[in-house]
Amino acid sequence: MKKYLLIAITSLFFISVFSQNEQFQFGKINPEDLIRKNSLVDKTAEAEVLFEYSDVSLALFNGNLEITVKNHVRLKIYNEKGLEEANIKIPYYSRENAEGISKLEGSTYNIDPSGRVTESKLDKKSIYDKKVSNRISNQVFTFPEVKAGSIIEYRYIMKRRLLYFDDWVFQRDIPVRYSNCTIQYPTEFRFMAMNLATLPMETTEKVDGYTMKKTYTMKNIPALKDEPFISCDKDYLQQIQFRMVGYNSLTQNINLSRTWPEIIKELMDDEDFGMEIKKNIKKTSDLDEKLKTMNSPLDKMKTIHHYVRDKMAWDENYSIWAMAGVKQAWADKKGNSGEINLLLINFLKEAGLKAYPLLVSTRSHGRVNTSYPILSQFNTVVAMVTIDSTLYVLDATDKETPSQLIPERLMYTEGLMINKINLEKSTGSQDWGWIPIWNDKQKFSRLVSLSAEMGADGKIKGQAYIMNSDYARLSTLKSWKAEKDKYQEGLSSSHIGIKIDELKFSNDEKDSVPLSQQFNFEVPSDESGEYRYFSVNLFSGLEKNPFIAGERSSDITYGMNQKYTMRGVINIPEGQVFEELPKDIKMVMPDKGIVLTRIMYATGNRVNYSITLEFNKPFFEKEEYPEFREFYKKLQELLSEQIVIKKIKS
Amino acid sequence: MHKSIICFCALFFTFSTMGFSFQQPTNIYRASDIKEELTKNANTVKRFEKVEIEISGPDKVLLHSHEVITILNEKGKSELDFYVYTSKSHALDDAEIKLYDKNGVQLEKYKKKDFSSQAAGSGLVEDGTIYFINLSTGSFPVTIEKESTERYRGMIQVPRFFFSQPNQSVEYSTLLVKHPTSMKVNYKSFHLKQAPKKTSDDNIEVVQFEASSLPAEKYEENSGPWTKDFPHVLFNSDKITYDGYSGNLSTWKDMGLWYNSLVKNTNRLSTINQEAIRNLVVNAKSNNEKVRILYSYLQNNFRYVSIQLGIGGFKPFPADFVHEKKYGDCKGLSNYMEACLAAVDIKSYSAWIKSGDDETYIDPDFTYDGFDHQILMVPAGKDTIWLECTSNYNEFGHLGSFTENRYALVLTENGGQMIKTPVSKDRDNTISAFTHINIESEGEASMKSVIRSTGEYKYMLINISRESSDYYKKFAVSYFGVGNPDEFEMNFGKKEDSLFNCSIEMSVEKVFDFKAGTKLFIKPRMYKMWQHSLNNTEKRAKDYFLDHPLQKTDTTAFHLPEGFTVETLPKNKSISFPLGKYESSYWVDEKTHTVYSSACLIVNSFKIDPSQYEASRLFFDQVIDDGNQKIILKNNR
Repeated sequence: MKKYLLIAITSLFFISVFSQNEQFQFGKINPEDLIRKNSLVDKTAEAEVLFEYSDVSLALFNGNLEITVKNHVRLKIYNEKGLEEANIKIPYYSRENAEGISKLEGSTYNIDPSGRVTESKLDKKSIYDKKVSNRISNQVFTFPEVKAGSIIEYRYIMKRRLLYFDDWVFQRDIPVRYSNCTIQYPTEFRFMAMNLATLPMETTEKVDGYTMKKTYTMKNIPALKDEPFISCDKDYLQQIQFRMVGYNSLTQNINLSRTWPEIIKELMDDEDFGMEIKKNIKKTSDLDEKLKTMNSPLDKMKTIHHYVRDKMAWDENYSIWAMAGVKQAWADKKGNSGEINLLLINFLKEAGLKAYPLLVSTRSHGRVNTSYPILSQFNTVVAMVTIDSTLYVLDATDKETPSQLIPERLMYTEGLMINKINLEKSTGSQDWGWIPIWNDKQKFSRLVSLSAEMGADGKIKGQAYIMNSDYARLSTLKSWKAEKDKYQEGLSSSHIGIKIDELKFSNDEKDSVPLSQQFNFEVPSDESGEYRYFSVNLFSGLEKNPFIAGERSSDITYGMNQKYTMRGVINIPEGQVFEELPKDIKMVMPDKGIVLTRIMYATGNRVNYSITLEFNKPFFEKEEYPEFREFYKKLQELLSEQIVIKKIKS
Repeated sequence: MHKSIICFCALFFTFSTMGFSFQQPTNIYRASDIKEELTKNANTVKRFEKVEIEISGPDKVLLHSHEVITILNEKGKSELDFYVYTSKSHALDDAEIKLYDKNGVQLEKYKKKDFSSQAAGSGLVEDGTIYFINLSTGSFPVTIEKESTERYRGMIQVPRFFFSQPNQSVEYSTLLVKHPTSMKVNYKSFHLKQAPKKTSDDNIEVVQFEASSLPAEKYEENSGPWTKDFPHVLFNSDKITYDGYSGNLSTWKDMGLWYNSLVKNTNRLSTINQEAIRNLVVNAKSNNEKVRILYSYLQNNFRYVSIQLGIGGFKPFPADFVHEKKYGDCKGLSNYMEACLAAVDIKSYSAWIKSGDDETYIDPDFTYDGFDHQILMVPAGKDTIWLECTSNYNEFGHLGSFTENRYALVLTENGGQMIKTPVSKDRDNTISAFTHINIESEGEASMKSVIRSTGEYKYMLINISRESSDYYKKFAVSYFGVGNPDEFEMNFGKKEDSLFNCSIEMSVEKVFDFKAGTKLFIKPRMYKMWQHSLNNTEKRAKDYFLDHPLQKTDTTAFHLPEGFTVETLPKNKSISFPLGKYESSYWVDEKTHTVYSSACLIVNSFKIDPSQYEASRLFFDQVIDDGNQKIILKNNR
């Protein structure tokens, strides 16, 4: 009896192990998955990756290194929108056959009316190989007999003659139930894994003879969502990146891993970087003349900054390198961001200013993780200048930002200051390092001041005066310059029937003072019975609430502090009185992140009001979203409260 | 620089000997030489352009183009990009791009070898490669000169030619078309003042079009495709050869016959597959029912995939292929549906059409392939059925604003025939909402709406139903204009129902917009009756196109709690405009302590004539404004 039991247990064990593997075997479809109507990860998902495997191995093959990537994906389609997931493009590097795809196969699975699983194979003739560019090609195909409810599956082998491992992205725009990446390589190699996943990940590591095997697994990964005021999708994408950092054999020792100081040293010696900041470049004589008359370093800095950005056209490419050389760029009067800003640094240094290259990652390029010394985390370089211990960050590819203001795309990021470095001198203060590009005092700041009178017809006519400072100045100036007609339309879109005329801008050329606008406006008030009502939240840009989603998976990034002020005086016609006015109120988030103050008082036929709204934080973390959302909702309600007036009964 | 001057002179010389004259350009590279009247409304100025199309046979065409364009400002920046779409039958032989500063001094020069290339198209699979180069500049104005030679190995027609585009003025532009006298090349010009000049000798015929000193014109919002309103020329020819298929494309009839030669053998199913199709309709009693069953089979089992391959995207996948794979593009799916109907002895015809939401214009009097989509017509006199075969939710026989109300080229066995697709009426696109709002003592409320829709509104809601539920709320806030609900749920009915149902349940902390003392100001309905006001323009010159005719109704019942009384109701409204009317009314049912508001909007046409624009604008503003009225309640407790 015992013996039988033992057999039963082993076979049970065997079966469970088997089924564990079996469920990932090509063609072994779990009928439950076929019947399932909703994703278990997110019941509203249009489709879901049931599993995704990538098995990457590096091996010596005929004396050459070759990487073999075996990919296998199984996907369930839940509704019509998910049908698009059945259209597949696999890009590969086709130049000089650096990569090649083979053994591509795929199938669609459905359940027929009798409940049996049917399989429709992907026809080899329906796989297209399309050249995208000189370097990249795509294998393109779509699955046969796909409908809502189908499961599709494909796998292929990619051979690669280049020595790199792809970043493994666990997350997609649909949920992923299981994602696994395995890398295997000879133990002579060393690879570093840069872990950018914040959700739970399982890793294993095993040495088998001369092979290192590592696995990375994630389960039940929600889809990456598109949310308003997100800093950068990449900051939230669950992924892992691999970098080769060394090779050690009996005969050779190559170390590719670098510390930040080592990277800086190499940069300073690089002919496309360090060598490019000590070029002697001929400026035009008008600049030299101008600089001669100046004593203050700040004036000199501003003059040079303006000079370079006015003269140089940016080709809209970000780079930390001056590949064409700053001399060439200066001759052509155009270049990438590296060329333009290294040129700027040349001129600044030449004028005797303390200027250094500052490596940065623009907000859309993603956050820099300082614990991984990898240069590709930066996408551009700017000039950093210190004058009397004040820090200035100058980017000459940006035509509008004044010298004293931190460029918006860099605000609240961290930069790496590059300078000559002595690697031997390990102690003491080194002249390089991480520079927080932060300034809480530089805000988006807007003041809207109204002075108006309501006529007997209920129309409110008056003058508006708007002052925009710092980032508000920049954004207003940009949208006004882009399309002047549209700008005026935009101003009047906040309320039906607004009319605006005699719009005048002043100080648009003077970047050290607020930009001011003045115009006349007319806005109808609304009427119900004997009541009339109107809002004083006009022209502020605060008319809509973008935060309606119940949940939030990324931090809210405004990227700067903000301050809105609305104040004014409005007179109402004789024979009308104010009903109870909106209450005076001060509303404060527990951490004082947002503060709203409203004061209103009426005397006779006149109401005075003053509303200030301050955002004292550039970011709100996703964890505080519930309070944020609730606060924001109340705030929107308060801002849309109206002043009500009533006819005096005679 | 020297070289280009010589080139230029040579060009002049050649043509003057042929008896053509050209305006002597002043300095076409210097921005300051542009006459002031040509800078008004202009982002770019075409300084000089000469395009020469040399047809040497039905499948051999060379296109030489030389243009000099001054870009006045940032908005004309796209002219700094040069790109050519090439394919198996269309090659870019040579190209040269030069950039000049505002004084006409050459800054840069690029040849074809400097260009990048990229696969074309946004579909899943498409033929073709784009050659392109993007220039940049730090300041404006600049002048760009583009010269290129393209070669067509067979084309179905001579490409149409535009003398100008929105916000572009023209100093001088000319087009020459040369062809052997053995071929007939017809043309039709639009908005062109000067008549073309024609010359011919024994073998070659040349026709030249010219335009000069055209001021820049703006594109008016929602005025349909700009192409119909700007000067251009269309061509057709009686002899073409494309990928081995020869034909005469100078009449609609012949264009249809040419198509027939392409689809031969692809539009019939194999015997087995025919049998399978026949089995689907064994119980059907009429032809109409058969078409219905097969259309619904198509909608429920097949999907649209964009695959544009082979001969310029003309030849569909064989019907048997589509039957087996259950996918196809518009041609493949219409062709398949045609084959299915043929299997049950119902005649139908594929039809070419120009798709798009605006009533897209194709001149029925001049044969020209301006189509980009294919649908199916099942002829039956006044009961003729039109089918959109790429949609899995369109109502049977309803084309929708994507293809309705325009000419389609119906491809019959006797050739092509231009037939107008049906126009939808206001009753074809309806949406009606009925909402109950239960107000509690502090002004909090729960509400439930039932929304029923047909036509375009149904399609819109079906699309929404396929999004994630996060999106439902976003949609309800942005489109319907509901406030910011605390709890929200949206559910949808079945797409097969002719009245598509959707229900919304939500709760809000405050049903009122604002409060003054004991008075609550509540908006009269939860959903917007109209989305956007029409622009307030000084003078409208062109027709304004609405998306579609429509009928919208909204009824809202506010159930009041104890202690609440009605202070004021908005005034009833009844207004009309040339295309329709709007009515709203408000009343109280004392017995049930309920306030009712109802509104109804009818728009019975697509098109607002410029003379009706101002009235229409005011009408829609009043509709929006009526939604800003308030029901004023008083809390007496």
